[in-house]
Amino acid sequence: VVDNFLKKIHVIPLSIIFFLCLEMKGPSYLSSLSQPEKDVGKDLDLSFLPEETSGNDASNANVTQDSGVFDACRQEESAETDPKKVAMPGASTFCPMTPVTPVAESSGIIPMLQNIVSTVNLACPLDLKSIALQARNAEYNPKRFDAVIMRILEPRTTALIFSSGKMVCTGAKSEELCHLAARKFARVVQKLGFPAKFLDFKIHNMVGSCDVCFPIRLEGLLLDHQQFSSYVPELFPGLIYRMVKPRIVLMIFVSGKVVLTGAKERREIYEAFENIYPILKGFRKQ
Amino acid sequence: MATVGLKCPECGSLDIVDDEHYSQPQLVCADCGAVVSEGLLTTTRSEETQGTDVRYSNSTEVDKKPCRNLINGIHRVRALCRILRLTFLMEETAETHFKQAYEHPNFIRVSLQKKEVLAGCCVLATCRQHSWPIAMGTICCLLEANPRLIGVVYQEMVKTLKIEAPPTSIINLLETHCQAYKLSPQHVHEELSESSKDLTKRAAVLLELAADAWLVTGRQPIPILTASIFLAWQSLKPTQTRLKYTLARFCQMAKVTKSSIAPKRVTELKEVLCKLGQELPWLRGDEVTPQTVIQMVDDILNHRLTLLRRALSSHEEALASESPDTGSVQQQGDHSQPSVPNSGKRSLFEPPSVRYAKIRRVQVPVVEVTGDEEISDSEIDSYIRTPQEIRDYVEAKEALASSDDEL
Repeated sequence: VVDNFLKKIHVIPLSIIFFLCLEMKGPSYLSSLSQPEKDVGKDLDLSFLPEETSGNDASNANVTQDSGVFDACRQEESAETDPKKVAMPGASTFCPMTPVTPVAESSGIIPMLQNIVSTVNLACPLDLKSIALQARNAEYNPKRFDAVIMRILEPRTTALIFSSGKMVCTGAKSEELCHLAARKFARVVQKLGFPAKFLDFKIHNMVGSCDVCFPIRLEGLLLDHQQFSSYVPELFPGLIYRMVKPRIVLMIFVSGKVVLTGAKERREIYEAFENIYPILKGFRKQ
Repeated sequence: MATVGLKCPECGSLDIVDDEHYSQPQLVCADCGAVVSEGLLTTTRSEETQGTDVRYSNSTEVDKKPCRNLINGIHRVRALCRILRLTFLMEETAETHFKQAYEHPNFIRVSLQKKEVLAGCCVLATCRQHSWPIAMGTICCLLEANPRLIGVVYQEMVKTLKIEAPPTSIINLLETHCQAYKLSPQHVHEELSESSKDLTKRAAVLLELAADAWLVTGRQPIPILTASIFLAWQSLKPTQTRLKYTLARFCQMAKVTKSSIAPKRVTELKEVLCKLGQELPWLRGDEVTPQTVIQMVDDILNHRLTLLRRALSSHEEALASESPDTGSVQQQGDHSQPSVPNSGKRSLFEPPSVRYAKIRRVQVPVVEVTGDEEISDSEIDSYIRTPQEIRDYVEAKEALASSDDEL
């Protein structure tokens, strides 16, 4: 019997359980699947659905349930038919939103910004050799990379200065610090004798990180959010989640630590985390 | 086609032409017919087809013959499929993928190394499409290539060809991996042999336990597979002979590649088994060590659900008795996050990255700035060399350069 379990594993994610409940309600949902243009939200009355956490308990009798990989061993007999083939096309017409939660409660955790990358145009051609000679905090190795790498101590940042007059500033932990650091670098270049200006300061990328403080079942998360996630443990220990709105890439690790990157503004990071927190809570061990 | 500058030795005319005379190129004077010089007689067919004036790549030939690297690549794909004993259909699919990928602009100009790896990646993608469980590590061993490179090429290939290749679950990998272990009676001594079926069964249960205890998520699959098979083998017949075998010796015996990570997984898995073994009622609270736990694995696995329940409840009791004492200690949480201190709610099983968390660099509190403050001159001056410093630096560099020249 164990061999049978091993041979045909159907891992049944939470979303399928939702669909099963919906099927029992009536054919109205399934008919709405065939009309993709209609706003599905209006047709569906999801109030009867159990809350995520209790849904987890209802479907499992055992204490040791929470293994996303081996669910099927215990549930196989209860759900022989595989509605996955039916549900998946539905999932694409169904707008990809988080599974049902009541009013989105604030998580209480605020991601901390770790790195900000910005560029600025100094608007004058620069002699990199002379900069490297006159500045204490500069390194210039034209064979390796054709720019001067300059560092300042306060705020602790690094700048790449190119001969065209463009500069990239990295390492700051807030937008204001980034702006201040870029101005300091421009001032140094000015003092070295170049008519440097400070044009088009723009932040290109912001990286934040935080900890949800509970371990996460990455395999389960991959199954539920296949279209957004990429989890290949042979290559990288974390799950890479590409959120659509806002357009942020999250790296989610088994320890509960989350790294968010690709933001142009601080609020995108906060928004992305508020979106992912209820999803992660659903994969918390009960 | 006259050759410039040559003069006919007979009549002195400058009109020398190339004449392909019965596949022997000759330089002949157009006026008197004297042969000025002769070329070699072509002997091999390949020379005749490939030694042409117009380069093959510039020719107007419609059916381009496949280049040598493509042919080699296809041979490699076929060889890999034969080694892995894939079906004929899968072999064909892999070949098609390889041809498509090879000719795609993303891959036509990459290094030879990447092209070799591309062959393996096509095989891997085909296996995944047909739900044939195979690990990336296996391809790594077969190609003897860097796993990172394989990862990069594989992801690029999947993106380029737009194929859906769902990754295999670890339990499916176990069965295939198990078959690689040569432990049948004809390969090893009677006492050390074990049938593949029994081994897979026991290892599957151990793997499930490991997954529940957070040892599998986020980690490379092959070391944990090796570890569970090793412990399964030891526990199926826990005689002294078997217990004396280390993982390295076991891998050598079973003719499987050694792994440096697998011993750590063995330790972790034994720890988990010890925690459960502690709850066995007939031990009456005796200490279970990693050395003694192997004999009890049979019992532990048969009653693991009960043991787990008991372990969880006893763990909760232990925490409850502890918490009144440590309530005050919890106030000194980490400053960086207003997070729930983990120590208060530490569960029985945790991912090892949580238990042995890296010590973070002390976070400097973020100073509130507006970004438009005044920048002091003295600060900027501290980053600029004094003229004396510049002179010293230049002199030192020259001295260094001259000493290098002398050497």
